[in-house]
Amino acid sequence: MKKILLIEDDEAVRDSLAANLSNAGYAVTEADNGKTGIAKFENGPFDAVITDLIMPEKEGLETIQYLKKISPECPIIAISGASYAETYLEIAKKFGVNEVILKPFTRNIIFEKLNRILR
Amino acid sequence: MNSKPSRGIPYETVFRTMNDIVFIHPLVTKSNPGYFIDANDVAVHKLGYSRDEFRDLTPLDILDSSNVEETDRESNALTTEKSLLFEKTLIAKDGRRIPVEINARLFNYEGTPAVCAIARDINERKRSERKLEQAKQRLTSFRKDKENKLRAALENSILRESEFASLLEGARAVLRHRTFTESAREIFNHCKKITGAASGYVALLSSDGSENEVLFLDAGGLNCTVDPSLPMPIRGLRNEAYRHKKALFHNDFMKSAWAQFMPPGHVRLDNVLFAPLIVESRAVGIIGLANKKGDFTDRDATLAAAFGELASVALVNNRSVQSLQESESRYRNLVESLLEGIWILDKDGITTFINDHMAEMVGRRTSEMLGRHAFDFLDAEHTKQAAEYLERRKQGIKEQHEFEILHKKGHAVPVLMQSAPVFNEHGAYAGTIAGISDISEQKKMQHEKEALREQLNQAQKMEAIGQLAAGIAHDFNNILAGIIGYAEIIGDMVDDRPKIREFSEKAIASAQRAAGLSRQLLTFARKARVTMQPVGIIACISHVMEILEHTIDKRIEISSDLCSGDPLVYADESQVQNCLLNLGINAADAMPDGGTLHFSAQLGPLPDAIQKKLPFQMHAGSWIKITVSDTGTGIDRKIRSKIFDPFFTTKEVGKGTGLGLATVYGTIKQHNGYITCRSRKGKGTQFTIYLPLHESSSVPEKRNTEAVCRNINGHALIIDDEAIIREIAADMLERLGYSVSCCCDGHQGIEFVRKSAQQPDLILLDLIMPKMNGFECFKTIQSIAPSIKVIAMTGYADEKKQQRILAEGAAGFIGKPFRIHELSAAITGDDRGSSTEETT
Repeated sequence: MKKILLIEDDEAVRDSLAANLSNAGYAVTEADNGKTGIAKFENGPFDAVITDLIMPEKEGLETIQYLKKISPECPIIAISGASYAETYLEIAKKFGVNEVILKPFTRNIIFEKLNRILR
Repeated sequence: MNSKPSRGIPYETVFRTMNDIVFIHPLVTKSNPGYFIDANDVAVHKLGYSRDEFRDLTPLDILDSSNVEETDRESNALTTEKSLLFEKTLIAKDGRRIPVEINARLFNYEGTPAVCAIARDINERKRSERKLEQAKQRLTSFRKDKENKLRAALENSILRESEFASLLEGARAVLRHRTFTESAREIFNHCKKITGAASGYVALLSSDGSENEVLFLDAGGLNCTVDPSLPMPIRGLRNEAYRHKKALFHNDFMKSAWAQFMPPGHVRLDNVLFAPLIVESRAVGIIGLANKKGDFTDRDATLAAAFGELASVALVNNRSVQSLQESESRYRNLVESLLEGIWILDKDGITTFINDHMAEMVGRRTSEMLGRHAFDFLDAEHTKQAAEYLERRKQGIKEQHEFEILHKKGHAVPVLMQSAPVFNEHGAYAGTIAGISDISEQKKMQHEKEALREQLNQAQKMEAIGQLAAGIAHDFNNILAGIIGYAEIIGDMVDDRPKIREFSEKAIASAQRAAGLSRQLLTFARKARVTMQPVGIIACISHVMEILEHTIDKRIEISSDLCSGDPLVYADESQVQNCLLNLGINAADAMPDGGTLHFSAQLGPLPDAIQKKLPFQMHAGSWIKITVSDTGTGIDRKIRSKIFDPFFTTKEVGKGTGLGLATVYGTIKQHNGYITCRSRKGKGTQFTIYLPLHESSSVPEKRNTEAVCRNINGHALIIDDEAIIREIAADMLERLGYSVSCCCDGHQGIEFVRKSAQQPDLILLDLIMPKMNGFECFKTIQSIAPSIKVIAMTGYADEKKQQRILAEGAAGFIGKPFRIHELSAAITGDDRGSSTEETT
């Protein structure tokens, strides 16, 4: 079972995505901000990380930088629904995230991207 | 006395009673000498002869100048007439002459005809007669003298009259002529005539007072050969006249000391007279006269002085007129050069003056307006207003107001009018003067400004919506993501309940529509991602028409009139397509019973009227005008201004978002374009979109990594792994005047710099690239060609990286995405500010 770390401050998004991922057979660890996300990641390992970009405590981009530093090989999917989402996601790509997804999304998009990076 | 006279007594009585001399003698005949028979005492007393002595005398002895013939004649006459009355002069014994009147009477004395002659002394009478005669003579002489005097006075008076007439003519000449020379000429001619001079001149004193400047010279028919350009110095008698400021003459000029001053060739001067022209106590000129037949007199001098005064008046008058004319001309020039119209009315509102500018303002000539009532140039409404204004002028009120005057062509000219009353010297209202400016342009601009403000409001509204959308996008999308996620879970949980599963899918679809709406809103704030590239607009329109053909009512005929070729616009293709689709679908909705949907696209410049209205800077150059028209229901005038408002819709609830046209508006604005709408209720609607053409006229070719040098301002190289960044930056650099080459990674870039025949002047270098990062690339390029100006760019504003690359020697730094002016500033170094100072 692939282990996924889901870092998302919005409870509804986190909760529903976590449920969908679990239903799809992923082991999901949830974190509601970047700081706890990093803490949980260090207790990993994880096969993939799905992270929001705009969060309290620690910004998504910082989190990504940190995660890529300590575990460059771990694939990351960045999600964002912010008004500058495209820009943020572009930047996130520069920071090494493997896939980017605009919010709102359907789970199939998540599954598709996860399949691609976990192949 | 028919009785025979007796001797003694009767005669004695006669003798005694008479005071006259009485002689008695026989009728003198040839045979009788007529010795006196008797004489009375008076005769003895007056003549000095005694009675006896008388008896020895005959009448011939005592009568003066008497002779025999005369005596015979008298005797004969007496014989015939019997009595005679005649005058004689008696000579007394002492020789005195006594004039007498003799009354001789013939009578018979002792048978012999005798004469009784009574001589009355008429010496007194004669004396009286003489006195009378003398008196008569004196009277005659007196009368003659008086007559002469009168005649002389009359002649004098006639002379004076002609002098007076001459002076009067001279005075008239002052007023009659426009120039001093003309006046002076006439004055001179009169002066010459009245003084009897044969020649002369009028001259003005030169400004330094050294010589005469001759206005004209009349040589009196003589041949004067003096060079007219020779100076006429002030000397001689002329100088005296100038100096004493009085008329002077000399009647024997050739013998005077001044004759020596005459230049050779000068006509002979027998006599001369000079009368100075005096202005403000200064002699400023002179009338010279010469060669009078006879001599010049004091009278001539007086007359010449008077004419001199007239000439002075003419000079002053002429100077005043000139000064007045200059002043008038100055004011006229001023009035005519004013951009303002000037309109002057008399107290009855009749036009008495109008300047050209005013007349032109209303398409007329000044002559058409002069003498006409102001109301003739106003419409009914403004006539009424003007009447009220004129009433206020009469009350002395001056004011400024906007007004309208009718143009000759019939339209109203909006003006700003400053009008003030004019009062005469008695304080009575004399009319109105108005300064009038044409404010058509201002009015037009004001309308445009209002339209502009409307546009701006619209734009601001859009931006506000965009900002609002941007502000809520994050939360909104999270909410939608949550809804979608949960709905999906629900769907999973009810695999056996297809209806619930269906509902869950519908919830997901709705959430996705909401997400679409959110993205639409974001385009207003230009926050959504757009992919700008050169797009063939005709292909784009054709594609839209193709989609519409498959989607809208078949009863709607789609037609087009598209220009040849496929001109490029720099655009986000899908957005432009969406706009056209939106307009097409709206059009279809407006034609529920079918109709025609027409697309047209034509090249051309942007109409000025639109350019002026734009709330944002639009590119100059060529434009494509795209129209989408329908033959549908049209848009009601009342709502026409709202059609671009977000959330405004005429569609039924659930059928429209109210964002269709708002999005179209936002998109066109984002593309630096312009959209207008014309609609007629029941006839149809036409949307017109103007989009600027992409500057490169051809369809974009894939950009080569090899140099494509056009060498305008220089050659620029872009090194970026992202194609879209290369495209956009290349376009901007080209617009900044560079020829541009592109490389998609650091290695290619270094190779290009190393091998290119023409090294770039400028490199735009992405710092974050795969294969070789920007820093490495920069270092290498610097080592190959340190003079190349390198601008670093990155999508993530990392202050440290920025500092570092600048410290390494980059010419500038720019964050992605950037706009052309930011790029331009980065190239020119205007944006480096303090960071440059810190690193150098």
